[in-house]
This record gives sequence, C-alpha cells and structure tokens, in this order.
Amino acid sequence: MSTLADVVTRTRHALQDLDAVQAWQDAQITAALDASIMALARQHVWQGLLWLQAQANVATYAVNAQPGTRIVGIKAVLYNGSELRYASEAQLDRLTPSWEMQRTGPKWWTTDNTESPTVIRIHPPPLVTGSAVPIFPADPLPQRWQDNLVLVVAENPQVTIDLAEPLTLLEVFADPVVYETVARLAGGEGEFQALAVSAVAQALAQFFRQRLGMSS
Amino acid sequence: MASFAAIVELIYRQVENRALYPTEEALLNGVNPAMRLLCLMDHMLHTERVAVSLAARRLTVDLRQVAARSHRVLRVLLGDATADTPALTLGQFAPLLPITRERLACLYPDWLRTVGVPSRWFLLGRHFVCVWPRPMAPVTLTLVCATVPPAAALATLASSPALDESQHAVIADLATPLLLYKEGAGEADRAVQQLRMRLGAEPFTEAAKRLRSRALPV
Repeated sequence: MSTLADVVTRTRHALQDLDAVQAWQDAQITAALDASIMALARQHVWQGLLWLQAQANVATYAVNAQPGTRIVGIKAVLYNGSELRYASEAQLDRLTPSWEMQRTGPKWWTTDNTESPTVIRIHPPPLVTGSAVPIFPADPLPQRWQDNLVLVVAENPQVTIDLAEPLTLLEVFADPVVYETVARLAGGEGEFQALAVSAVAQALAQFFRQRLGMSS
Repeated sequence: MASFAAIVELIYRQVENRALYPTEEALLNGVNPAMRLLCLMDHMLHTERVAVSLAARRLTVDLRQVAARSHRVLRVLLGDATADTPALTLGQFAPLLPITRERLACLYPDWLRTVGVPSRWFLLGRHFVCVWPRPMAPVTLTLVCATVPPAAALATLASSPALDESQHAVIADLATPLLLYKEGAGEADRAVQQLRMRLGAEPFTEAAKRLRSRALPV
C-alpha cells in the first residue's frame, strides 16, 4: 500500500515541482489531496458500518462525533438488528402530529432539522440503554446489536492526512485523486498557474471516475 | 515479453526530450496509470481469485486487506475455488447471488439478525464485500475480482508487466500522453488528441475545446 508521501511525489512529478525550491509546500499538496478524496467521499463511494450505543430516551445521536471516523452521510439505521424506515419531519407530522411525545421504541429515523446531515434523530427514542462494548468501526457486528444502533454510513476512509500514513483506499482510486489534485493546484490563481495542465488533469480525473462507475 | 525497461524505451521514442521524463516518473505517472487505465477499460484483462476466511457471525470482508488491487467484484463463491479442484466449506460449494443492501432490506428488514449458510453477497460502498445470512460457523469464500496488475518500480524495471504481451505496446501508447501533458500548451494539446484517439471522445473533447479557446488571441 502506498503512503501519502508517494502520492505527493507523483503529484510533484506531474506539476514539475521537484526542484530544491518548491512551488507548492507539502502542506498545500496534502490539503489539495484531502479535498480531492473528500470530493469522492461526498459521492458516497466509500461506506462502512458504525456501532453506536443506544441511550434510553435519547433521540438525537451525533454520528460525525465518533472518534477515528470521517462520516459524510448516513445510508441506513438499524436498531435491534432491524432497519428503521427513513421519514422526513413533514411525514412524521402528517402521521402523528405530536410525534415527539411518543415513547414506543424506535421505528423511524430522520436527519431533518438536526444540526447536520450526520446527526440523526431516532423516533420514537429507545426505551432502554444498550450494553456498552468496545467499538470496532470496520466490523462492529460481533459486538452486541441487541438494543443498540448499527449504522450504514458513507465515510472518508482517509482519516489522517500525514505524509507517513498509508493511502487507505483501493489502489485504483489513487489515480483520480492524483489527477484531481494536479488540476486543483495547477488551476489555482498565482505565479505557477498552468491552465492547460489543469484542463487535461481534470479530464483524466473525470475519465478515471467514469471508468470506476462514479458520477463525473 | 517486453520488460518495463523496454516499455519505457518505447515511450522515450514518442517524446522529443527524454531528459524531461526520468525513468521513475515514466513508471509512476506513465506506465502504472496506463496499465490501470487499460484494466479499467477491459475488466477481463487482469483478474484474481482470492480465498478469504470469514469468522462466524462476521459480515464483511475488507477488499483493501484481501485484494487491494481490485476494482470490481465479479463473483463470490462459498468454498475455495482457487485451485483446480474446489474445496467445500460447511459441506457446500456454491456461487453466492449478488444483491444490493437496499433490496435486501426491502425483502428482509431484519437482515442483520439472520445467521445461517451465506447465499447472497452485496457491496457496502467500494471497500467491503458482505454476505447474507451471516455465517453460523467460519467459512471460506472465494472472491473473483477484476484487478489491476502490480505497479512497476525502479527495482522491478527488468521484470515484465502482469498483462498479456499483446498489451505491452498499448501501455506505451497510453503512457506517453499521460506524461506529455505536464509540459502545458502545445504538448497538452498533443496529449489530449492522443487520449481522444485512444480512449474515445469523452471527456477529452471538452478539454480540447478549453485548450483551443485559451489559444485564441485576447
């Protein structure tokens, strides 16, 4: 598995930025890399499972606050091993006008009017607190799902942006990420702007994304 | 069989100034992405069969750990089919049927609770392969994946790509524009023309238009 330093070297080659005096600092390149990876993550390319301890009478859970994760969206919520149905607040209003008062155990989930799309509201809230067990985000299912929440989340798997860290993506995703990064850096205003390089790199990134089955 | 060194030499014949493209760069930004591009265009060019063990009640297999070079899961089998004679697991050998998590949730809302002999597989994003039902005992699965070949490096310059020999000249043809475009302006235009010719119009037509519009006098 290549490291972020390897990816930065590839990017520098494409930008012809390997002289002693560099046009772009490592921090600038890693920031652009992070933005490129996050742009793919926002398309929900990478998903995972997340275990959350359910709390009695607590309806709102901040999924994005879980340590060691970079959650960008919620795909599904399971309580007690069963998928809850998604509902907007307008739907819940039509169904039961005073739905916030209900205490019958979870049936629905929503992200409407929460702080962000990664904060969920379980409706009705759990009646009991699930057992607390260690969290293994990559595969939480050997832990107790009984009376707890298991979420299918869209995530950015590159949690740490550090040159010594491995690129935690499948090898084929390195190419669109590098081309997107080159396009960002070469297209930026400034002394080293190279619009032709940026245009071709953008087209290459788009082509790789298409071949990988992502929307361009 | 052409070695990576021979392929780099083929690239050097297509560029005007080889000093602009050190061998390391020719491999990193030329040969390697060209090989990956070829495999993305034809999934059958390079495939792998990987046997993986899944512990009881586990749901997911992380492709980054078992097949880091994969880009598409083609088949999942219950049992070990990596050798000519398949090995049974839980007394069975059978292909698992693909399904999506959304469809599984429609059919069986409590799919997570079910434990038994796996009969279906689905993808969770692009990194995790999941089986349903979760296995009641440890099982061996075989993943058949479309993969990209191992990347070339300076240390492996004398070895050959893990692609059929018929593809070696194509690697050089694709790698050349992937290296050329960094020169900007004229070379970028030349690279786009070559990419359009070799990979098809989309999305390079748009890039060509943008390059041409910038070449117009202000």
